[in-house]
Amino acid sequence: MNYTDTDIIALCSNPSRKREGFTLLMEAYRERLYTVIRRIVIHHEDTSDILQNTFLNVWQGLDQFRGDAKLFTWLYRIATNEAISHLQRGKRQYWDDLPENVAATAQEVATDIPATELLEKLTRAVDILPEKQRAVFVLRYYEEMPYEEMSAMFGTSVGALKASYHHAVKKVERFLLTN
Amino acid sequence: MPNGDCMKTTNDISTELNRISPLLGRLKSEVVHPQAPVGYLEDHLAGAVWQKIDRSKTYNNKPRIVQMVLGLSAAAAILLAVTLTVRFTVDPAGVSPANTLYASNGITQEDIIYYLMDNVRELDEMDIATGLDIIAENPILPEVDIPAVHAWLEEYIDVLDEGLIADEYL
Repeated sequence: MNYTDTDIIALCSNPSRKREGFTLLMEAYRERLYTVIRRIVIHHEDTSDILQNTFLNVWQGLDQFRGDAKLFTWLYRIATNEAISHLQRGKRQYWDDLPENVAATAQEVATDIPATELLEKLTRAVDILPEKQRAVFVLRYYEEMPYEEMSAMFGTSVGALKASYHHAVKKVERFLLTN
Repeated sequence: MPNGDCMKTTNDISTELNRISPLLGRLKSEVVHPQAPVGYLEDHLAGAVWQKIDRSKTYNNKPRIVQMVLGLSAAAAILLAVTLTVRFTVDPAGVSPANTLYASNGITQEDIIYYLMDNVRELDEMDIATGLDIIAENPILPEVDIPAVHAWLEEYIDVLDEGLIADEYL
């Protein structure tokens, strides 16, 4: 039987069936949340830890979830915040000093590099972005999330998100072309 | 098949991306989903999550005063754990004020360690100094021998190094 978000939320709201509802919620969203977290933090071990903490936070916050936002948007917000916090705790040094000017244009280089090599570089390129910019890039580039939804998630204006995404894409492109 | 709204959103995103970077626009069609190790999501994840949930309930069900003590700060909690270790180790008869306080409220060393694992990610000199100040000034807490805590803190960190709490939590 396929359960809708409404079914899952209804079960979770019933104290005697909360565990059952939560189990269904995990089954329904574990893969999508894993993917988005993994794209942000790159490594499986980190992803595993963050995903578990995400579900712990979801469990603890279920009673406060009023359904104002879509269930998945709410889950995304918790997962993304967990991932960003994880990166911030790591105090990593970001490779932020990429050259502004590159000799070749994207068009010229792209034709010379195999796609598989570029994809590997793309993963590494995401790793150089500052935490929040990285989350914005992942949510927009991979997950195709509308800015309005992201704005509700991050509490940031649509304009600021567009600018952030633009900078992120340019940084990633520069990385692909210079490394 | 995406519905009309989804198609429109995808097209908008694609147009925007190709405008900013044709290279990344073209690369997007080649992107593959990252895969979890086989069986992780299906077999391992739920068990690990339920374990964390049950553990958090243990902490949250403690009497309010214990939550206050534990909730002071992560730094204070570290020092409480140190103190607790000291008291139990040095004074197994349990007659010290600290031991009495912890025991009477049902708190165990395991509770504190769980709390640390869930809440403490970093430990630096500022945390230690703040924790010492809180412990010294908080009337709820018994008298604490600050120099002894300092000394035991070093030993405690050695214990951590031996794997009592994984390094990743610090």
